[in-house]
Amino acid sequence: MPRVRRILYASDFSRASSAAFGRAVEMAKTNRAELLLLHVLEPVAVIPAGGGGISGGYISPKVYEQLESATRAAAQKQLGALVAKARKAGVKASRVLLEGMSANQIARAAKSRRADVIVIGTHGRTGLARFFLGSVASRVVALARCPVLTVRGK
Amino acid sequence: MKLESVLLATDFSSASEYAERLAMDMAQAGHARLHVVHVVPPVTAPGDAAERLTQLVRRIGPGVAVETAVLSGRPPREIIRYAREKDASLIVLGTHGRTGVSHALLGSVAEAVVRLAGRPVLTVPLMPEASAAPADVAAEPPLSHHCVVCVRETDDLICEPCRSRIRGEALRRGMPG
Repeated sequence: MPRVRRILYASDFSRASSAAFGRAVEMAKTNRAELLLLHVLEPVAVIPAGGGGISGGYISPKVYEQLESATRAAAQKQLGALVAKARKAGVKASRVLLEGMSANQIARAAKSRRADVIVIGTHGRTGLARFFLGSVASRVVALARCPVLTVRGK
Repeated sequence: MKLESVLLATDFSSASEYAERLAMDMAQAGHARLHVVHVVPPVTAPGDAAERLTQLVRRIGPGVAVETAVLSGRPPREIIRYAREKDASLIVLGTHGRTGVSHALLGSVAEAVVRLAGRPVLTVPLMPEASAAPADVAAEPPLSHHCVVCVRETDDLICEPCRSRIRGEALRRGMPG
């Protein structure tokens, strides 16, 4: 592909994402492009089941904050591991952690950071699950203003 | 990524133009075989599709092995079937970039292919290089949602001004919360 200088790889840290990661790194290597590794934190959804810190079907703000910062820390750590992996392969890589709805944030980040291409994995759900859940990847395809490479997870 | 063969699916529309260029460049750079296909709807005469494919292929530089085919049926299914048959390592296709209601109703060929192909797909929107010029960035439609109340751009379902208006209204009417 001509003039690929910056690649945005979006990951949800699933197995479906890791196949795409290999492609993104390879692409960055062959084009000597910069690789941005993105994860989007979706709002924490909590289903209270009674017990610690939970009363009357709600959780206290403190517990919520703890949950949130724990998820954030875990995401940072996983992104860090990906950055290390990419750098080991000789690719200039950096991490980006955003919050919000995944597809929107991915498309937006690609635009604001001037990515030439987005690389993203697909889960390959079939049947009813596919029909109802759709997929982040297909929404990114619809929203993005740059080419999107989708790679089916193993 | 080692490209053995690239499958370009085109609908001859302007949405496919950049995808066409990218696929040709990629095939050339990767010394890959290029398959170019066009799908005509079921029970439709192919018309001049074969002729147009030939014209398209003529623009490709030397050194690329090209194969063209006019397929008939539902586009996503035919594209995927052909990709499997030829074991294409990459499918390239343009997207129209419909959003909102028309998108929800019509879906898109590209999305169906992405979900069902089981192999790498490169979707290419209309003229992405337009966004390279800073002046055009502002002119581009934003990616955010519209507020369901006032249709203003917002990240949320209801924008902040509307939300406070609703809150104020609720307060005035003596509703709790």
